[in-house]
Amino acid sequence: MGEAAEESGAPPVEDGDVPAAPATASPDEPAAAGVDDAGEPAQEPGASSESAAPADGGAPVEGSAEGGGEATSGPVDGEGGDAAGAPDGAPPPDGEAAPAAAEGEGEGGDAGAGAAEAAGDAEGPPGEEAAEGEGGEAAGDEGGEGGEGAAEGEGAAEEEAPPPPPPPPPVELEPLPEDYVPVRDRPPIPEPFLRNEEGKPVPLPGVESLFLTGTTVDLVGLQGLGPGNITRELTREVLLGDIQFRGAISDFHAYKAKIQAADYEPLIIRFNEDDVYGDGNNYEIALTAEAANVWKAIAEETESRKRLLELEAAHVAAEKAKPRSKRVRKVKPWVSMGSEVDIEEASVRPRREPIRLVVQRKRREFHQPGAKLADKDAHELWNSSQMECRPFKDPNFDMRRMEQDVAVQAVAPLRDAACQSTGAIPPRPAVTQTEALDLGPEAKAELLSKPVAERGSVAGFLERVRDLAEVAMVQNEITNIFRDDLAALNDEADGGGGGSRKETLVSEAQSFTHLTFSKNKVVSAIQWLPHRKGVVAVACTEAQSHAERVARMGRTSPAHILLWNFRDPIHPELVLQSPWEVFAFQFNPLHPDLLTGGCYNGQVVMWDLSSEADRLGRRAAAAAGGGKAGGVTEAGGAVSTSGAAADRLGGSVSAKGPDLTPPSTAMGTTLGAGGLGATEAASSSSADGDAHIPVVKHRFLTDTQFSHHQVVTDLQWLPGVEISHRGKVTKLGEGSKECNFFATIAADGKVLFWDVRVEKLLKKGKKADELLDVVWKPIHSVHLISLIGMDLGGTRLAFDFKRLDQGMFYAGSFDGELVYADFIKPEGEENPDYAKSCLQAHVGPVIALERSPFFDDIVLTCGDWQWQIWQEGQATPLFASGYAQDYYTAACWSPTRPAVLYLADQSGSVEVWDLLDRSHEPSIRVTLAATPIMSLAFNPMPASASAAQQAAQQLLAVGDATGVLRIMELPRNLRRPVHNEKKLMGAWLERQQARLADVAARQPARGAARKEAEERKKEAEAMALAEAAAREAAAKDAAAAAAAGIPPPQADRREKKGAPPPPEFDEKAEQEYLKLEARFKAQLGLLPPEANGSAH
Amino acid sequence: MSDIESTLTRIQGHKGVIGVIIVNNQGVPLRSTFEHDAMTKQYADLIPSLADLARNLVRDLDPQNDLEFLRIRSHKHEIMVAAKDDFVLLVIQDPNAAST
Repeated sequence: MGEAAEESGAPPVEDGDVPAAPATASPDEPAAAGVDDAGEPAQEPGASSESAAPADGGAPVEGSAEGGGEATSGPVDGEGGDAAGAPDGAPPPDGEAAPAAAEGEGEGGDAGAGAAEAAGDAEGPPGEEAAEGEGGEAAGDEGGEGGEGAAEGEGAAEEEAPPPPPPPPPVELEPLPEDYVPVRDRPPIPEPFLRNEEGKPVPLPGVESLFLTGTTVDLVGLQGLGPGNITRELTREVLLGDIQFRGAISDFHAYKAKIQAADYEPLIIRFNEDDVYGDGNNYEIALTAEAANVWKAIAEETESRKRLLELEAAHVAAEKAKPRSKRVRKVKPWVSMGSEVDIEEASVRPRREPIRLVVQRKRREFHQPGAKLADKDAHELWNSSQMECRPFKDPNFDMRRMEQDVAVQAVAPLRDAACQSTGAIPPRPAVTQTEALDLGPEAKAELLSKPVAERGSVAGFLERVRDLAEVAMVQNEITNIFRDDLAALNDEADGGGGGSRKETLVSEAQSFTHLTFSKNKVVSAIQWLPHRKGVVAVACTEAQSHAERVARMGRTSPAHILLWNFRDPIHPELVLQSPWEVFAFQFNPLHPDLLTGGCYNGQVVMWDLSSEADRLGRRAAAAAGGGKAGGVTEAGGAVSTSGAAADRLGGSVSAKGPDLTPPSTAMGTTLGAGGLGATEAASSSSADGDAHIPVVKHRFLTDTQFSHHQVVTDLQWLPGVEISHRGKVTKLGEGSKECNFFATIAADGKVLFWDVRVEKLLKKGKKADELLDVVWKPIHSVHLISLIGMDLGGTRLAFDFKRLDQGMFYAGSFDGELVYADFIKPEGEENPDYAKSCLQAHVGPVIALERSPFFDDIVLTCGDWQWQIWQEGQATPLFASGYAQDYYTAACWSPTRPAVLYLADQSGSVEVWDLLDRSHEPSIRVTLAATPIMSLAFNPMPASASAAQQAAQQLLAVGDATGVLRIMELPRNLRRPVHNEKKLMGAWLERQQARLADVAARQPARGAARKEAEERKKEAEAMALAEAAAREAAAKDAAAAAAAGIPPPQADRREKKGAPPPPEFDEKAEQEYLKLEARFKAQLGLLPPEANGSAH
Repeated sequence: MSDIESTLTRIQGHKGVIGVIIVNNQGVPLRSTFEHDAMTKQYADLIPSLADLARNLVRDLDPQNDLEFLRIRSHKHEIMVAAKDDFVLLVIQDPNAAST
């Protein structure tokens, strides 16, 4: 209720007030509850204790006045009220009620926003009240009620209050006094009764509630009492007269004494319309002055308030009539409706002390000239140099963040902790340190000795897991699970001959020949440069027979070694000139710029290419440039000053001085024939294109006197050892880069060892150009004797490079012998026999002698039509091939496949023998040329075997008898070893060994058997002869006998069979035949014993 | 005791077996055929924790599953780990020696 009242009207402040509450309450309970309602609010303020006056029209007026305290609706009411003035004026109450109703209705009709609710509530009831009022009920209560009902509409009605707009009040309205309290702000009018403990109304003391019948009313003149006019004064005489007149039936009879005793005059009777006390009485009478005063006071107060309300209303109306600007506005005190919380929330309050910033400037900087300040446009500033805060791209907004893969592995968290402690406080460092947990030996023993059945027994555990572990171990033993089966498959496919042509075919990659240097010459030796890829050196010799050579003996015939680069198949990269034909040469494996060659006359030459290396590099660059020919060449001239090529190559002729020595004359005498690494223009070349080919002359030449006396056939560098003059060999440290010695073998039966450090021979103080005087002598010499006691005509050398310090080597000879010798000179012997064994291996010269690159003790020899495999220390070959159709000219092992070897023959074919495939014939035979092949050489392989296997290509250089060098590319199946090839080859060799051993074991038995057979044969022959002789004698006898007429029986038979030949001829033939027969029989052992016997 | 020894000798009898170690669940080597104590300790220290990790993995993938056997193949060796109950059996084998 209170709430509704609050919202219903503009003046919320007064919400707690009495009138407002009944205002809303009354509509709820239209008529009867009216008093109740009015009573209820009265209780709250507790202000009605002494209101005694029952009848007064003021109450309703008051209610309405209260309601419209602020409203402008008041005027009509007020005027109505004013006009009515008297309590009994029916029309005024009526009029009053009507406007009230009108107000209510009007309100209902167009309620203001705030009044909607109250209006809704009030709508009906006022109507009823109005009806009541109209009904002419004069009860003041009712009027009050109606007034109250109207009051409720008050606030809302304020705007449209004057539906019947009254004429504006006279201007001469007195202003309200300063301390005027508006009616609605005044305390409520006390009630005209009391309330008991239960809140029920009880009559005031001195007041009697009574029931007056209509007759009584008429008799005493109480007609017309009703709402708005509820009290009437009656004199005591009237009442007493009524008692007297009517006697006991008078309504006042019961109170006769009290009336008589009443202390005032006239008595007041109040109309109790609503039966406030609930006792069914309709009137009450005040019998004491006190009670009457209360009633009077209430009535007066009501009346005065009604008047004041009218006055207020008049003021309000006057105010409203004024123009808006002139109105006096009442400032309403602020009332909290909860908005302060919102304000509180919305307000911003500093949380800290404000920062104090002092900007200072030095005084002297004030008013300085030059500081011109000017405004600039933003766009100008934006890019200008004055702009200190330039725009830039923030990479944070540019960077794209991709999804990130993060893996986390859960590991026990590691914690680093350190503690410093002092004295005896518990975590002492010694205590915090830990060591691996371990059990004492007893505890271990106890654990280990637990019986199987017991829980936690090691034995039981072992029993359970043993099988698992064993399965795994056996698996490892049986198969290698990480073997790449696919790779193996590939190998097998290769071995099976499948794959494309390219993969199985030996194909020619390139061929080289040079018109001047090599055409129609024999390629007698091939060497790949160990440090450069795609460069081959070839020694060419004249295709002359020994006789022709002998005829030319003594005359120098400059020969050349050509360096072919794969990049240029026409021109050799470099030509090394030698005074004599070179039959064997080799690059120093550790210092590839050094190379030595053995000449036909037995001398050894050395070239030093170190000065050429740069030149070659530059030349390679220049070659791209183009300018080939140029410079001066002296056609056919043997002498050249500074070669055109040398010039063009921007080189000084020689770093060691002017080179004016004619090479052909200087050569052949002693060492250092002036070449000293100089380059000459190859002026002898006929083709212009050859002009630029640099020719390098040898640097040193050995002394003829101390050199070989016949052709040097093989030359080998000996890395990693040091050989002394005394023939002692010392091994250099592991990984030594020294390679200063080489060995040569020649047909004169000597193996010579040379030290390449010729300069060492120079005596101190001598100058380099006196090198000419130095005599280059071999450091050690080994003389080998052939089987027949002559000098061994050596052809090939084979050292075991892994055990050089042991000094054992193989040598082959022109006579097919294989010598196993030791080049270390034994102590104390002047002319020791170096050869350990000398075996007849071949019929013709040994043309190849090579150790297997995979098996240290296996040696391949090749001569005439056969090749053999020897094992070190064996007197017979492990394996000897069948005889080929053509004479072999060269042989070598495959550097990557242990079971493969290559042989070249006179017919121009190369045979590939794969011993694991077949050993009675070559696996592959390729005919490369129509001319005999003279030499074979593989390109150098990377050091490690695995790398070699993976190498992209394997090249075989093949030189023939017409000076053509062919580079053959080998197919993959010849390059890559089959799985486990080395092991298989080892097994193959073992089988051969076993075969040899078997043969050797049978040798004595077979020899004996053979011997026996031969003896028996001889015996039989002897017997046959004897028999024949006997027969002859018998025949003679027979003949004699025949002549005498007694033919022998056998002869008889024969004579019977055949026609009798002429006697002489017959006899001879017969004897021959018999002899043969006898021998045959003896051989077959068919001779009859009697014959034996007869023979004896 | 003899059971254990005989089993150990039997395991060691396989080709290429380098050593056998029995470790308890606290990482204490109970029995080892290695001569070097340090080697034993290292194996006993490192391998069981790996086996535990492997077991965790297996059981994380399927809680009803369990690690049966763990084989670690390295360039030189194969380490076979049988972890059951309270003990771990380590067998170190050289597969190259075994397969040749």
